[in-house]
Amino acid sequence: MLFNSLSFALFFILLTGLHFSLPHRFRWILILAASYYFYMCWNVGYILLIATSTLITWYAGLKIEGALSNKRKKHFLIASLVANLGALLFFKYFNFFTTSLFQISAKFNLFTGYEAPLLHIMLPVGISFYTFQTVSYTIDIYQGKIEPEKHLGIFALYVAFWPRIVAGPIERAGKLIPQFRKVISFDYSNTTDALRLVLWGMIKKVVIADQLAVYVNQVFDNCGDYTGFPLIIASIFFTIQIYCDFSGYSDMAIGTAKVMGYELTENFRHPYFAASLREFWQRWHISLSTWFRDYVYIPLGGKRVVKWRFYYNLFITFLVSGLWHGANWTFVIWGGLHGLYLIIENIVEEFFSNIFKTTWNSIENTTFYKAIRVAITLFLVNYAWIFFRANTVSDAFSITGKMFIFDFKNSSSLIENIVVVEPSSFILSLALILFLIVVEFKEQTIKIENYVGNLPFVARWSIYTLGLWAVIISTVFGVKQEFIYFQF
Amino acid sequence: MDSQSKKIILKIIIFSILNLVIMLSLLLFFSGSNRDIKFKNWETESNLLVTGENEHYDVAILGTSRGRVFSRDSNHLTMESVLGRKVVNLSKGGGGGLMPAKIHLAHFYRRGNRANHVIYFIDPWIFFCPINNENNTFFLKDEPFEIYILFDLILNGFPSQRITSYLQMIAVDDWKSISKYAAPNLDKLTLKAIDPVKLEEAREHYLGLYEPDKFEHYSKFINDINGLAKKHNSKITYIMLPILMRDFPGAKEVDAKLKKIINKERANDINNNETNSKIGKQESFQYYNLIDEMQDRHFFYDHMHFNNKGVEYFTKTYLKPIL
Repeated sequence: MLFNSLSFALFFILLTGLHFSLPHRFRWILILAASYYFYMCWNVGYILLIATSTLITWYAGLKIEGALSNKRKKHFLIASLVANLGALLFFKYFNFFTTSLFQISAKFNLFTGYEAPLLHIMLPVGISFYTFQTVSYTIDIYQGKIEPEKHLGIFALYVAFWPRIVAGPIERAGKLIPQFRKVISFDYSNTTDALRLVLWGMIKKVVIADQLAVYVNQVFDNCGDYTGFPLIIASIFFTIQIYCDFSGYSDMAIGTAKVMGYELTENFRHPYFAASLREFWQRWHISLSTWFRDYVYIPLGGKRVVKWRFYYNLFITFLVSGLWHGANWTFVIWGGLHGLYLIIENIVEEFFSNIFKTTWNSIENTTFYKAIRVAITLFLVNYAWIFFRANTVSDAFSITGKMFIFDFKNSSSLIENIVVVEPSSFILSLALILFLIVVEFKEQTIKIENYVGNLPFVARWSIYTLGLWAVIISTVFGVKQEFIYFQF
Repeated sequence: MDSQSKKIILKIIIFSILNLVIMLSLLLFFSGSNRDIKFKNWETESNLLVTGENEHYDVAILGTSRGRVFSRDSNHLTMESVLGRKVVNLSKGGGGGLMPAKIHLAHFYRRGNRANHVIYFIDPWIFFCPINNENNTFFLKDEPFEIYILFDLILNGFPSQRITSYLQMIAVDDWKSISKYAAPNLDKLTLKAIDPVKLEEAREHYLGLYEPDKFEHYSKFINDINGLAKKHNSKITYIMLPILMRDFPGAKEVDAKLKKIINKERANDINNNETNSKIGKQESFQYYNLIDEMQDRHFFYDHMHFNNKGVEYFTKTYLKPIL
């Protein structure tokens, strides 16, 4: 069941109505049943996986708290981590590891004549997201940051809460669980803000991202046929597509939860306006980047170590983050690139601040300097996205190798060379990008949902109607694309 | 319910009504906007561009591509000449099943058309295969947008992909070029030999597509089609056409089911109007299983589709006496 479907609209209306009609003490049962139903719309069988993970984590949490010795606490923590991460490794990475192992072995003439054993099973939707929640829960209890949840139903809800089960945001128990215990009453302005956020998320996903996907898919799926401009344009379009796709999904998740009175973590904060890679990761997929910060980077030692170890920690964290995204070397390289970027950024910043010393602060605060840094950051991020989107590593290297080769001799005209899809589709894509840039600039000062909410009635309703129709028309006449992050 | 809840519910209702009105107005505006395009049955595979409005036909044919061959090339005129009757063919190539047939027949009647006799060339696989029914991607590919067909799709449980793809007919005009595609002229050919290997492959192919648990569900559409014919005073005859394959998968089940349904309908008919049988009026519901007839490759261009000769022979030998 997708957020942008009629069946979801019915599900959501019915659920919200029931939620506010029921006495508080019964609400968790309703939301849990709805969450399991929501998940089962993708795959009925895999609900057992979530249920098992929930039981193991809940039990381990109680046992960690109750254990008398640190050693015993550790045993329960490890057991829980092995169970949860083991399931993730098995379902998501088994084929990747075996094929990679056999490919490497073949280079040394080992296992020749054998085929890598492969699992022919579907990846459970959202496994990467809910596993990270269960992992953070047990670690937080072990570290004494939170108390274990005694109520199994409430804990199950934390793992399976429907707005975020498929693709996040990745929530922390300390933030989400108390909200299930709080008595929530209907709030008019909260609901209208939330509905505007849902509509804006839909526009970003269905209208903008899916439209850009037409050009992106054409070029990336046939990258051997193109050089120069189409490759550059496709990489830029993908940079915007993935932002609109994922932040659009996050807005819908946050908005739908907010209608019911629950607050989820903000996942995006205009990442393409970031003036450094460090800042980019404070604005992009915030719930994931903070998770990696707290549960990988800091436990490795973070910055409070010798310099080479600090760089190593950064690199490893991003390498693992890349692998989290998908069982493919393209994602590993994407993560590795970001790790490298951050290491180089640290070295360069340190170098320049040492040279300019006293004047560095004044240089840093100039608009020109900031603009240059935003442009450089955007370029680097855009370059790394090529590896993220490419179907294979060789495709990615082929694209990066050919994107600055301009062959004007063989093309009948420059326009034809650039516009590789229907001209109307290309123009629409450009118009939508322009529209997004205007909105993103405006959002620097006021959030879109608040801005629209403050408009006069006629203007407000006209925008709602136009937005809704843009979504309907794009849904019916556009090319439907899966949410990119659903595959993770 | 507090005043805040009432306020938002009221606003959502007003907003929904407003947008539903806009939607209906747009759909009505686009619906039937291509009715001025007219074709003859042998010039197109489209049905909506042929049937027109307030027309009276002697015979309306329903079926799959095996029914469609009766109108391809010169076959339609041959058939009309042999029968001496005006015929409209509502069969759909690409495996039009029971669900598509119901939609087309309903629309035929809705536009004020009449037919004395509906002939449904029934195939076993349409009782088992979603790909011929709700998952059929072809049956509206060459048809212009009509709002009532949209409603029929929704009411008959077609999946959202089919509904969406039909809505796309508003903006895309692929159907115009597709609808000009008429007969592929295959029916001028003759099958060179009855090849057991190919027959086995075909059997395997169909068995692979079959979903036996759907049989009862699809069978209910026969009742709907009977109901439509009855309501519009058309006689209806089901004919299982010849196939060059013995023991076609599912044929026995379909045969038994059709006999049961037709017998039930006849019983109702007699109960409702006993004089029908007394005055010797032809039954309103008939069924003929001719699957094992005409086992001669010279009547076919492949193992299941008649060629020109097959159409002419079948029309003379079987169809004319039935009518």
